[in-house]
Amino acid sequence: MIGVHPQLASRAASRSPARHRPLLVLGGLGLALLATALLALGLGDAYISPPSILNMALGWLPLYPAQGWSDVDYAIITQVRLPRIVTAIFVGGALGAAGTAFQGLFRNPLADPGIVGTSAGASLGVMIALIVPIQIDWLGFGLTSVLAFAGALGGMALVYILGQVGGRLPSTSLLLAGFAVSAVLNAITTLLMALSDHLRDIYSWLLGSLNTATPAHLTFAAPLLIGGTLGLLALAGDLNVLLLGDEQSGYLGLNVTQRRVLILVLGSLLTSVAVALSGLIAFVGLLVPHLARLLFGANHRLLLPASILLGAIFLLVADTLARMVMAPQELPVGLITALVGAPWFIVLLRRRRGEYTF
Amino acid sequence: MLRGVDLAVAPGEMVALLGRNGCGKSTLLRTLGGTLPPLSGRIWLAGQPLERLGRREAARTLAVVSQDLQVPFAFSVREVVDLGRAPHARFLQPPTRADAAAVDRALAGCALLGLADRPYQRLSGGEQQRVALAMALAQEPRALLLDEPTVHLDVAHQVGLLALVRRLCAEQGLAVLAAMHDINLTALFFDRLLVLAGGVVVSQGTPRATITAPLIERAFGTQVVVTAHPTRGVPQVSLLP
Repeated sequence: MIGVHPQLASRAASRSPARHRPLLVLGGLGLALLATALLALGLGDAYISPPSILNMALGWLPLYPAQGWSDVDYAIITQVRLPRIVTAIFVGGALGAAGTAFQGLFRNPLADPGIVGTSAGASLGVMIALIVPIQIDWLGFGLTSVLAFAGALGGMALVYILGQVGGRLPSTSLLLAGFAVSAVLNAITTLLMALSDHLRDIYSWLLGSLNTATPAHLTFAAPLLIGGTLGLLALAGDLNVLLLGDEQSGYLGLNVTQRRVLILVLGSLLTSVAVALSGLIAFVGLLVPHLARLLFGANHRLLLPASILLGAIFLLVADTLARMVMAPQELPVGLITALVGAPWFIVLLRRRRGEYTF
Repeated sequence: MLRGVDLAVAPGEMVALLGRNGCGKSTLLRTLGGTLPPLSGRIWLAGQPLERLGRREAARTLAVVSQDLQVPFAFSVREVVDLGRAPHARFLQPPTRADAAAVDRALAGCALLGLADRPYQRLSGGEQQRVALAMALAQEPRALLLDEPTVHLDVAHQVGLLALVRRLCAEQGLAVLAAMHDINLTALFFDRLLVLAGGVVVSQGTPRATITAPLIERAFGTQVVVTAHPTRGVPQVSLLP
C-alpha cells in the first residue's frame, strides 16, 4: 500500500508553518524556568512562600514601598539560596548548550560536553589539588576549582593538538583522541586515588555539587558562561550546515575548520567553567540535548536555545530535589540527574516507538 | 591525477563527464567545486577566477549535488532545503522573506511542496535525490555540479531526475556539469560530453560525435556495439560481454 499514514500526515500538518512556534516554545520554557526558580528559592529548611519572594524581588525596584519581610528570610534568600540557584541555572544552561553543540559538531549521539578531554583533565586537576599541601584563594576560588578549570582546558588542548590532521579537525580523529586522552588522564587520576587517602573527597567531587557556589564565584564565571553561550547561539545556523558533513558544508560556503574550532573552544570553555563551579555533574550535557530534540526537533536554531533553558530547568529541579529529599542531609546532584533524568528520557523514547532517529 | 583538461560550460548547457571508475570524474568535480585546489591551471566561474571569489561568493554562484546527501538528524525536507540558503545568510540575522521565497521556489521546482514537512530520512532514494537538488537550487547558483546523480535510482527515477535537471537548466539558464555512469542516459539528455581515461581527456563533443565503439572500448575497456536510438537518433550502446 502506498500513501501517507494518517497519523503521520496529521502530525506533519500540525508541525507545518507555525512560524511563531519557536517563540512559543522558548517563551514557555522561560516562564517554566522562572516558576521553578521561584519555587526553588522558597523551598528548604525554612519555607518562604512565592508571594513573599516576589515581594522581596520587587523591593529592589526604586519607589516600591519596602514592607513586611523578616531580615532572616531576606538573608536566606539573597545569601544562601539565590547564589546556588543562579549557579544551577548557569551550569545547567551551559552544559545543555555544550552538549547540544558537541552532538551536532561530532554528529554523534553519545557525545557529551566532556568528550574532548575536559572532564578527565578536570578530574586529574582536582586530584592533584587534593594531594598537594597548598592553599590558595584566587577571587574566592580554592585550589580545587582553579586546577579543575586548568585541567579541563589542558585536557581539551591536548585532544585538540592530537586530533589535528594536516591543519584540519576531522570528527573521528578528534573523538578518538578525546577517548584516548581521557583514558590516560583517568588512569593517572585512579593511580593517584589508589596512592592517596582522599578517596572520599575526590569521589564526592566526581558526583558534582552546587553547594559551594558563592556570589564571588559567579562574578567570575557569569561573564564567561554568558559569553560562551551567546557565542554558540550565534553559530546555531552553522551547526545545522555542519550536519551535512565537512565536504558538503564547504560547498555551502562555510569555513569548516574555523567554525569547528570556534564551536569546540566555546563548548569546552563552557564545560570547563561549569566543572570549576560545580564538579562533574553527569548526564545533563548528554541527556538534555536528546530530551530537547525529542520535544522540539533537531533544528539548532530552536534546539540550542531550548536545550539551554531545559538544561537550566533540569539542573535546578535536580538540585532542589538533592537539597530536599533527605534533608538536612544533601544528596549529590549528579545522582539525582541520573535517577530522575534517565527514566524520563526512556519514557519519552518509548513513546516515540523508534521514530526518534537522532 | 588529471592533466590537460580544458573545459567550458555555457549557461543553459548540460555537459557530462564519462569514464570508468577512478578515471578522475569525481576529482575534477571536487577541483571545480573548490574543495581540491588544482595543482596548476585556473578555474573561472562567471568571469572570475575561483580562488579570488570568497567561499560564500563561490557558493552563491556554484552549487554541488553530492552522490548521496546524508542528514544524520531528523530534519524535515524544508529544513534540509533551507540549508541551501547558508551562503546568503548574514551573521546574526534571521532568515528573510527572500530566503523563504527561494526555498519555496526550489521546493516547487523539484515537485517537493507536498513533502516539505516530511522527515528527510523517511523519503525514498529518488525523493532524497530531488531534495539534494532542491537544496542546490536554493543557493540560487548559476552553475550546478552533479556527482553521479542517478546512481542509486531505478530507471523511472533516473529519467525523471535528468528530465528535471534538463528543464531547470533551460528555465534558469544554469550551466550543468555532471559525472555520469550510464552512457545511454547521457546520450539522451546531455548536450556535450567529455570522456576521460588514464587522467587525460580522450574525446570531447556532442554525443553523436563522441560515442563510437572504438572510443568506448578504449575508455571503458569493454566491447560494445553502437546503434542509433530508434526514435531519437542519438547513439546507444549495447554491451558485448
